[in-house]
Amino acid sequence: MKYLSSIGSERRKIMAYNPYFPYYSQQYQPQQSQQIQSTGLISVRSIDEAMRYPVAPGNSVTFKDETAPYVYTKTMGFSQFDRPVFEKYRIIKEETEEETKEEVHHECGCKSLKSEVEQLKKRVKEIEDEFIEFISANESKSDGGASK
Amino acid sequence: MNLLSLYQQMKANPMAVLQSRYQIPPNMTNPNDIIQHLLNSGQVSQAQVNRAMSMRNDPMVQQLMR
Repeated sequence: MKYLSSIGSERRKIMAYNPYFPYYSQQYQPQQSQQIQSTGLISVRSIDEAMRYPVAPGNSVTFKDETAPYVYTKTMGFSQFDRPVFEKYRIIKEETEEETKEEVHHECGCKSLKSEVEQLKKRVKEIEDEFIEFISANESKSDGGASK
Repeated sequence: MNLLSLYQQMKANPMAVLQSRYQIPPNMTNPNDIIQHLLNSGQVSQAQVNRAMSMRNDPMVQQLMR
């Protein structure tokens, strides 16, 4: 209505009665620079529903599939004869920082436990070897005494 | 055209009245095609279409449809 009041009365009459002029409603927007207008997210039940959805020229509509992890976009060019551009995106969950930290912490815990176990095994082996050496040394000594 | 005659016409053939009112071609009967035509001619906006299409999710509308 603001737009209507700003133009001259003559021009308004022409616009009101000119049969070549399209239907004049309160929603009429004066033509600005051509930019694709986007709307919010529309829920659809299937990709077919998204493909059949009516989209105005110069508009882009985004759809969320209720049954599958996909998002679709349908974009119409500025001409009515342009074919719509349809795109399909898959939704992939990205791990949050907390989840990755938990995983790293869990991994660190396992790793330190593993290394401790390896060290213990090594120590046990060393002790075994020392023990065997000691026994064999004692046996050789006792053999040497017996032989004399 | 007075209201009474309009009402009578609507009762007799609502589609014809709407077609003449919104300049819809007579052979166009598919709802999606009609909506696309209204969008192309600028008679409705994309936001209006989105609101209308999302009405099926409205619980009140669902109750009325039962």
